[in-house]
Amino acid sequence: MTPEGVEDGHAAASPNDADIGQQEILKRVTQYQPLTFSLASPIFYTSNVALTRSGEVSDVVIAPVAAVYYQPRITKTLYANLDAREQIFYYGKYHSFDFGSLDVEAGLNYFLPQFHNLILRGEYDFNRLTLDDRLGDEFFSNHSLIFSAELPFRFSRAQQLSVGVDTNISVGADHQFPRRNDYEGYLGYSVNLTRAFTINAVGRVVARDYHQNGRTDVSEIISATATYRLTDWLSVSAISSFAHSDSNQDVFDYNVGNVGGAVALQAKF
Amino acid sequence: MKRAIRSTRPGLVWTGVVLLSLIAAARSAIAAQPNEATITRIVNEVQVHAAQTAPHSASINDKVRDGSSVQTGMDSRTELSFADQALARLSANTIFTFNEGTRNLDLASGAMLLRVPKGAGGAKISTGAVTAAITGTTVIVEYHPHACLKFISLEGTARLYLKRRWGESVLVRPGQMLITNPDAKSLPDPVDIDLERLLKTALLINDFPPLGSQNLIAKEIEKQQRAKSKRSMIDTNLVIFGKGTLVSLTNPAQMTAASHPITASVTPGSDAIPSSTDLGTIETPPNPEPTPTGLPAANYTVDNPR
Repeated sequence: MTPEGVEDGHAAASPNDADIGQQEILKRVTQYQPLTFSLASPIFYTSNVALTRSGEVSDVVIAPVAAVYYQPRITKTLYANLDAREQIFYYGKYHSFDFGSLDVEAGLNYFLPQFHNLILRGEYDFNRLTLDDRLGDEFFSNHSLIFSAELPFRFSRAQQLSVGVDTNISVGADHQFPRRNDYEGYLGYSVNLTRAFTINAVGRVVARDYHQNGRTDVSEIISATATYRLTDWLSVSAISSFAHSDSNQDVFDYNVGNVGGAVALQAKF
Repeated sequence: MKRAIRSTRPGLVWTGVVLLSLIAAARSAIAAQPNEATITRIVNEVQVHAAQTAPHSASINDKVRDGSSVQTGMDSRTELSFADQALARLSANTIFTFNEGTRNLDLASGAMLLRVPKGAGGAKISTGAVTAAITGTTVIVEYHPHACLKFISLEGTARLYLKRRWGESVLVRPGQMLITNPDAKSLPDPVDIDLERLLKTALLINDFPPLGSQNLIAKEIEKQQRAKSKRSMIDTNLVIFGKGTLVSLTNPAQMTAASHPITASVTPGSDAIPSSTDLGTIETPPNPEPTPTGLPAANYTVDNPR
């Protein structure tokens, strides 16, 4: 035993062991909550409403979103995923751009702890775009298969780097002109500066391969978000992003910057 | 009118100067108070090592100045009270130093209970590479250099962090215990422990007058009881009997016996409190059952790897 009271690498027993009492370990039984409801209302300034190469016009956008997610656990590492979300984009000046986007998804999430906590996702997505909030006024719908893989690297309790790839393959659409496949790679970093304040930064490269006219766009997108969690169910965020898009058809090149904030509510059951 | 204003101005200025001086004097007086502690209880041998003076045995009501260290001997305990209502109770074989009152506490070795009330401005406990920041909290800390650090929160939330690893910090909430190697490069998650049992068996609590935070601790115990009755928290048969990190497997009968309060006169070797030589031994129930973690209970000793 060392003079510091260490024996075999652990604190040696002493006649005064009762000083700090007995520590009976309790087991916390946490109940998995598969159902999540969320409401959020981002409001942001966008520098290029129509995503045009020239003659850019800016506007303020309010984009409330409501979503419900159901993720039942099938095994310890396999989860089903069913979700539906509707987001409506209201433009301050250019109302003709207003539209709504409905997504309904069903798929599986698989975690592989033995491979550095690799996360694999595969799902079917139905997307329907409508004129502003007139949900019956559809102008585009798309059926796609989404596959993604994400590898998180945790540096410490507060910092994480994530690398991932996403593919979104359109398997059917009712208007062929905007139909496309997306292939994306990304690198994300998140840091918890305090127990309630988190900053995320993500850089993405997306190749968008359109099914018609031989159009292919490549976009580089960087975004940063600072989130302050006021309670378990309420958070506020500052959001910003910049995108540069190059197309093999020059007319579709554009740059756009967005900056704003959001309030989000979330409840789990 | 102008003359009247002019004539009152010097008076106002002097009044202001006097008031400011009084406020500054009061502030400096208040600031000076927390920089010393009073020894309010002594069990057996306690020594004070003051700067530039020879170590001497402590007496009740001795003032311990900033930068001095207090050392307890075998089977000894002491209590230090600070001007801001904070108090520190030192276990046996403990060496403890403080600077700027409770702002910087250094536990060089041993174990202590520390209570820092709300409004006392917070405290920082340094133990090797790990620092704990607390405000409005009652905690127990045990530290053995290069061996183990044990941190228990009785009430209030503490934040533990590694000095040289940015972002490596963990919250230890009431009723939780974190055990780690003080030289570790990352901190583990805390575990829940039975506060009521700890309170009934800790001499740093039972061998001293009631803590000022007794009611707050009682509320945390009630919360644990509620969680137990809802089955969101369940008892296990894994117990650390006192200091150190050796986890013993107990049988239900022993757990019942252990829930009885003890006093300082409890002799080592009783059924309720195993003696130091019992630490690390395995006490298996007649019909071993799997532990909650799924590990076989029979002949299973856990040396906490943290």
